[in-house]
Amino acid sequence: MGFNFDIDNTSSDKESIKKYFRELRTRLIIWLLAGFVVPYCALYAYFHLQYDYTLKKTSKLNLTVLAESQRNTVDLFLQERVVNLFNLFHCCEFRIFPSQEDMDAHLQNLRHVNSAFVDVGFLSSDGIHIGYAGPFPYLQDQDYSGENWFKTLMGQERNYYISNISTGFRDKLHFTIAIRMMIDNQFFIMRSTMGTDTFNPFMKSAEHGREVECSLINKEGLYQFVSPHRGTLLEMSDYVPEKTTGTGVDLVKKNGGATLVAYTWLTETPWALIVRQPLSIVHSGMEKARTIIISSFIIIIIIFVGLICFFTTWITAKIQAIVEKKNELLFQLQHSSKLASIGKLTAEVAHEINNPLSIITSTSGVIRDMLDPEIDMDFSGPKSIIAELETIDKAAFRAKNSTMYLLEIGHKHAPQLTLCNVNDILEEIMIGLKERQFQLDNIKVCRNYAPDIPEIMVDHDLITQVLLNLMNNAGDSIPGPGTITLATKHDDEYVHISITDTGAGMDSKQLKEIFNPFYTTKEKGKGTGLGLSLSVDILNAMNGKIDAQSIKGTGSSFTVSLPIIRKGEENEGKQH
Amino acid sequence: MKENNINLLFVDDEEEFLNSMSRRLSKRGFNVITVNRGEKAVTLAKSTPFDIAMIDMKMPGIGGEETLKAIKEENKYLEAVILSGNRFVGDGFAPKDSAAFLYLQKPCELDKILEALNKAYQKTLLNRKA
Ligand SMILES: [Mg+2]
Repeated sequence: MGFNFDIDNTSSDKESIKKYFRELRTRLIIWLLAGFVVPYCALYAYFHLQYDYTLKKTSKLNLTVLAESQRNTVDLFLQERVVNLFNLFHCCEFRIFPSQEDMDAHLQNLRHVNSAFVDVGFLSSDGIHIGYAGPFPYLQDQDYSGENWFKTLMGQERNYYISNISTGFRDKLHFTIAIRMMIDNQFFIMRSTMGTDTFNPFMKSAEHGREVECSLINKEGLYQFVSPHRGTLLEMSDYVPEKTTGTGVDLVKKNGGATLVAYTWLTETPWALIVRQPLSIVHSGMEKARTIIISSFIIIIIIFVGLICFFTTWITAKIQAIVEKKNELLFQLQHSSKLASIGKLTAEVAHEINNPLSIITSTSGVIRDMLDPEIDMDFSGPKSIIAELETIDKAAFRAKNSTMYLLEIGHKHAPQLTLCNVNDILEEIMIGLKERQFQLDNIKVCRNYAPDIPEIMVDHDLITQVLLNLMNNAGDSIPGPGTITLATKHDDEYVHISITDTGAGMDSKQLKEIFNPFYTTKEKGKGTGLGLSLSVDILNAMNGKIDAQSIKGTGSSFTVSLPIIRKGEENEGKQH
Repeated sequence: MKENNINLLFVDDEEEFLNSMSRRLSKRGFNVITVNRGEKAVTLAKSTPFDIAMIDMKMPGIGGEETLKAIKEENKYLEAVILSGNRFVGDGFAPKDSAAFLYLQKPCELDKILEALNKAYQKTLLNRKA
């Protein structure tokens, strides 16, 4: 009866459910993305940096290794040439004062071993060219004692010397390999020159297919070997390593292009072998891999985002549908609960109206009989008619009580707090309908009202609804004759209304469940199981509460407690 | 005062209705005995041979149907009309599981009540002959 409390909120409930699920979906998506994409990005960034670092290190190492192996080749080449010259001292044609034939034979020997030998010369310890074979015969008898290479060779511990490239006493660039040999306590020097194209073949073979460029520089940074498009011989190199020994690698940025440069110093002569590789080529493999990784990363992110959005939307839509369906069901059940209550109410009200009506018709019939001369009804003048009319009036007003009650119960309005006396509310319910009803069911009603009960701010109709529901439950729980006790009392904070029956009672398990929606101890069709749960809602809205105590086979007692709101606290109370 | 008065047991918890209706019926050929509780009616039926009964459905104590069943134990030929304030829509034959002959809805016109009571009485007479 009058469940206007919940049912009117259904459409706004639907809206709030939709809103809740929209927010839930957004939150889920954000958190899933944050929880998934952020670590993924971090992991990706870490791997990318690591990969980058390793690849750069590897390419530097590769270039260094290439430079070192190339240096070893050059060193070995020079060592071999030195050995070739030493061998001349040991061959059969060697004489301290060589003839031209001897020298020609020497040259032939050398050229037989390696065609890079241009000529050969034999010097005494005072630096005079005492034997020569080669394309520059005017060098015969030349005095080399003032030449740097000669002075260095004679002054150093090492018994051979390899010079820088120079023109020397001729107009063609060359470098010199000179060795000294002690014979009979006197030094003799064998020297040979080598053309500048000496290194060409194995430098080119090293460069081949690797997109690297090899060159040789001396201590001063002048090219000793260089590919024509980089520079010319004896020109200053665009790169000079800082260190003068060992091996190193540098990144050189020049003219908008970066170049990786590896250098390594030769052991045989103070030259550095330099290998250059443009960074674009060094990193070309890395760039390709990076493109693949980045594009796969983006694709995976898109797939993740898509999947997360899709599944989150799908799941929340599913749950939302279930919740909406459940809510719809709840609404229907509340509605059917309302209908069931209305059914009970109409039956009770019909009984309470039809009985007075039957009194009215039968009593008016008595008057008619009095006035009918054919019927010998006892008639002692107007007095007896007035007595009958009083019975009619009494019955008519009794019927009015029931209709008034009906109107009040069915009256729909928003919860409205007014000052009420709970004793009066209980009496309204009893006089309106319940007392007669209980009488019919052999239920005695005991009243135990506190006379000084304070008036409280409550919604009159909603409290009536709660108490009537409790009285109905109490009445329903009593199978035969029984007693219902209505009691009121109060303390500082609350007014307590208790309705105690001598009915069937409940065990502790049932007692735990009675406030849950759809739980009912009544037989099928009699109760919807919503009355108490709705009462709890109504009381919560008024800051009230409800407690139940019960003993199986003895009876139950329900106590409704409502806060006493004094003047000045009213506004606070209304907000809830 | 009338010859062959029909002995009617009238049970209803509404005292005013019991009073007025019994007065009207007693002027129309019925010897009416009224009681306001089913239990009293059952006791009374043990000592008095009623022809018919008119019983209210809802009363404190035992209800109309139960009262009638108990009376019929004492008086197997008795037929009864049950009056109800809310249970049934319209008047007519009682449901199969009822001990009553006819059901009437309160409030009811006097003519209808008389007709129903007379029919019940005829049935009682038939019962006795059989
Ligand atoms: Mg009644």
